[in-house]
Amino acid sequence: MTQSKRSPAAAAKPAARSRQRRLYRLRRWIPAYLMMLPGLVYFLINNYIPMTGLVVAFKKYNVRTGIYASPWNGLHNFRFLFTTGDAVIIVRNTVLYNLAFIVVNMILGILLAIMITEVKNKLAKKVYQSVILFPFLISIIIVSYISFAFLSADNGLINRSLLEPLGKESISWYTEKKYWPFILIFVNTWKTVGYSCLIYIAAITGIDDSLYDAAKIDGAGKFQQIWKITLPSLVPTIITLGLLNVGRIFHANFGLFYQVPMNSGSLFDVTNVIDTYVYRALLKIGNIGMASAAGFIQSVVGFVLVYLSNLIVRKLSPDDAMF
Amino acid sequence: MKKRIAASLLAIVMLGAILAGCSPTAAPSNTDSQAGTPAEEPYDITLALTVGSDYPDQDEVTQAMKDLVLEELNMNLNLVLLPSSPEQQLMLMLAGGEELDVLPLPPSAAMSYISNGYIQDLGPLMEQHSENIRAVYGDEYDVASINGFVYAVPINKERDYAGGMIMRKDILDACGIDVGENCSKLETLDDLTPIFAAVHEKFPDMVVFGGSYTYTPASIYLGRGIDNLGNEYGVLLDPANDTKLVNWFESEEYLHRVELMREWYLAGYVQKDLSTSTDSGTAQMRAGNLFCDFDLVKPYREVEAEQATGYPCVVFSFDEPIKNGCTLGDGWSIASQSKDPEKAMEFLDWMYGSAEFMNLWNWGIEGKHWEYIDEEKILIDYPEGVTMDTVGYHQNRGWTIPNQYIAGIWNGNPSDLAQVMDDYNKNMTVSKGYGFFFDGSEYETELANLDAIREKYVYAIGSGAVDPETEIQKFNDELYAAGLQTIIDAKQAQFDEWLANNQ
Repeated sequence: MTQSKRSPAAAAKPAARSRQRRLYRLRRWIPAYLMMLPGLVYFLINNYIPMTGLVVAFKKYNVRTGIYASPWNGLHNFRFLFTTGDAVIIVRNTVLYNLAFIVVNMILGILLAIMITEVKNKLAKKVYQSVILFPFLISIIIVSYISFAFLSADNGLINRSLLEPLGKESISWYTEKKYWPFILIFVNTWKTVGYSCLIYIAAITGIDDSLYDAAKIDGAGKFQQIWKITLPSLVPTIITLGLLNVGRIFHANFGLFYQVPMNSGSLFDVTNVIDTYVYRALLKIGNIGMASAAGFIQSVVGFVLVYLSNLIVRKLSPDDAMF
Repeated sequence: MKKRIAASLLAIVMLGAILAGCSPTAAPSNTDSQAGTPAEEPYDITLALTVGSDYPDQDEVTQAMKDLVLEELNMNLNLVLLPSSPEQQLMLMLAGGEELDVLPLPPSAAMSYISNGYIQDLGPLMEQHSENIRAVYGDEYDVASINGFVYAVPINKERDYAGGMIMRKDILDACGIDVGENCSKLETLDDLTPIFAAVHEKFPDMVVFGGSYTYTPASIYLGRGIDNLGNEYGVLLDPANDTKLVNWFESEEYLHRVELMREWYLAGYVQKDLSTSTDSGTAQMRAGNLFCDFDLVKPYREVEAEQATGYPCVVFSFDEPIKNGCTLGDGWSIASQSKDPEKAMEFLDWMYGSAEFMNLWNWGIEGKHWEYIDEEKILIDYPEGVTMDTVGYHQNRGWTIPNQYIAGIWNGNPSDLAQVMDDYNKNMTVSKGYGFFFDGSEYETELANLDAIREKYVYAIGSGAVDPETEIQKFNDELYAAGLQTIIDAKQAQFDEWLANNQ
């Protein structure tokens, strides 16, 4: 740790001495580079080498000849995504749901994080935090059955214990489209808000206490402190999380959109996203080239979006840009 | 300085640990192989198979299967157990090149498996090893082929898929309904409506018709007295006489079934969540609150149903049995990655002739999970003191194993079941398309889109949950927009050519 503080010191020195120093510095850093090596090797093997496999999206893949020897197929593999009338619907669903998830998770996450950090009792704080995080750790299959326990037409909690006792007509949830945008956002928030909340709590804990003390002396109230200190300090975290999420805006959470609506055909207009569409279209055909084509588009769009959003952030406030 | 050396060492150790993770794990050695001291090293054969549910004695049965294979074929058997719909797992194994020799081909996967190069052409292999397969199928041993590529050995079972309704007999009796011997008093599906009404009135809390969403008379993609020649897009409505392909989803028969389901749904007979239900009718019936489910049926299906549900059942078979290619859609294939396809073929052929292996697979270990109850050693039943609930292994999935009829026949079935099935298969009407399969490898874009649209509509419509008046029109419009006509035309052209060559 002490080394890192000294390192950025020497800058402008005569060339010869500087080269010597640089050599010396390099030698000193060898252990650090060595420690980095396993990580780099891991990334190379696990993340970069497989990227060459992306060419399979442009090939007529045959498992016997392998990815690289299979014949080229041009853009043929991409056609199935665009020739269907559902193309607009699945892109719309994917993007809009993800935007909604990003916004709702951000607002609720920050709100909950602020509330939890204000709790003074240490035990209570831990309990709230864990309770909010807990759904994040549950498998989506289980989540889908928890929702089913609420929404089942025959035995569901909402129909049996809420609507029927109130004398209302029970609702066939899995065939009525109009409720699902709300249900999906609700379930997703319930499941994932704990995670973003945790990150915001960490960020808030990192804010210098002296800032609050100074604000108190100047007579700032709780809300002013939140508005003037907490939120501005969270901006870098918000931007980082936002950028990460924007990069995955073309990727839908398959489990959420496939399992929770129980793959009900009548809901496809509001539940069909790119991932579920690809799954349903290719389950029987099993064409790896076509599946990769879909993944290729998702990644490219995600990359472009992250790049563009970062460009905008850099224009607006250079300090907060990620790269 | 010391610190730095320590750090370097640590880094090297970590790197080493990662590389160590890459080294292949040693294959488990089989100690049994030393006993016989065979001249040749036993071949490691990997067989993937599907199981209905987990049984506590699986390991014991697996070991017995291994011992048998080692003894008779000098091969080390490696079993991979898959769930009853193994499409995804199989695809991963095949695409990933995992060790695999013999696999159960999922229904209607043949075309894609061939075009992706997942499986071997069995034609040349069968010249070496097909003794037992030929004994079972005669000249039809290589009928499961597309354009001359033999993709599988068919499963020995009924050669039609006829739809039927399975009803609980005790409920029928309680309602005072007499359907006659083998449901002879029922003729069409419409005859069920008054029965459903009576059951619904007498047992208002009971689900009259239910099951899994893929299994209703209107959503099933097999059977129906038609021949779909490999996929849903373009079917023969009268396969015994006509060779013109039409769109099933516009046919009168389909519309009629859909309307009937809607009528039942609105009357409250149908399970409300049927369009999303994944619990099989059998499981629901065993749980006790279901009166009737739809399934594919065959002679003595009621015996199988009673064994599986624990209730006496009657079966109303309403489709005319047609010998058609759908039943050749699944079977047993050899994976491309098999290290020695000839050995794999030898094993595959051996399975069709080994009663002992079939018994182990389907029923478990003799004396522990079943025993013979007659002199001729044909009929079998649970041993003394073992019941359906306590038995440690009992797959009872004859339709998935290579050759169920050489294995023991469960008590309740007639002892001449094999003969009965043989006659059934020989005497049924034969579809003009038997043996033809559509090769859609040039049309994967259209087929992908059609499959996605089919998923969207067919189960919602087929369970009666939505109004067919508007939905069927939309369904067909979307199908045509996605290229249904292209597929039908291409299929017709291939079919006509095949007919000309096979007259």
